[in-house]
Amino acid sequence: MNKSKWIAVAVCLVLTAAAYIGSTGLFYTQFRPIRNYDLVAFAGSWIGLIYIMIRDKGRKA
Amino acid sequence: MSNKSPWYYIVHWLRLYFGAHLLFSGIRYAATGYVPEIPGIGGEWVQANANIYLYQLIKYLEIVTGAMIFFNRFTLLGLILEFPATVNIFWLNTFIVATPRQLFTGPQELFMNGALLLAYSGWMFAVMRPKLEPLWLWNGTAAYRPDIGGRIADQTTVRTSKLTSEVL
Repeated sequence: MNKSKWIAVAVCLVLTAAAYIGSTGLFYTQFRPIRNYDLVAFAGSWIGLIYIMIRDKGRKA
Repeated sequence: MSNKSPWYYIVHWLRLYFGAHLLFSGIRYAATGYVPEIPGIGGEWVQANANIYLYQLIKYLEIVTGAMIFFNRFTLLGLILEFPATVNIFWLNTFIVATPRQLFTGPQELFMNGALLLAYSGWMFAVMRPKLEPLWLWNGTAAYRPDIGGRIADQTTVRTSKLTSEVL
């Protein structure tokens, strides 16, 4: 893990938090528990990102 | 885009998120027939779309475009095909339904599709050229030649003889 990857992970965590807040209504409207819809999208994006990072581990740009 | 840049991974994360989001939405409809309850005139619009089978078409299109975007196959084509549905969702959620949650999900949809289109827009750089000659898709390799955008009749790479010599 180099600096670029850590920055990317941090940004993706912020995007995940934003999507969570937006979907659940946390802090701004009546709370609704997170849906499977969102959980599947979170799982797909994070598993995919981890796969891409592992795939790129030994590669030079 | 180099994989040394954080953008490379951020764009892929967003692509995977948007793809999975579309896939789930489309497959859920195909498997269960689930249609969200939308209040007011927005709900009437969705029902009218269902009555003329446009809603069903868009849901099945979501499966196709979601798979294209998620599995990174014909990603740009998937993003372009999905864009009309995205604009529809954005408009409906943001300005018509406009409940607090929809005020988030409407712009979110446009942000995801729009940001991804921007991230892949280098592949359609020609749209930014003010003057273009017609070019069939199957002659697309000509787009990568330096003189593209000039008059085709002047290009020695396309035709060996001048058009004017054939007309006369």
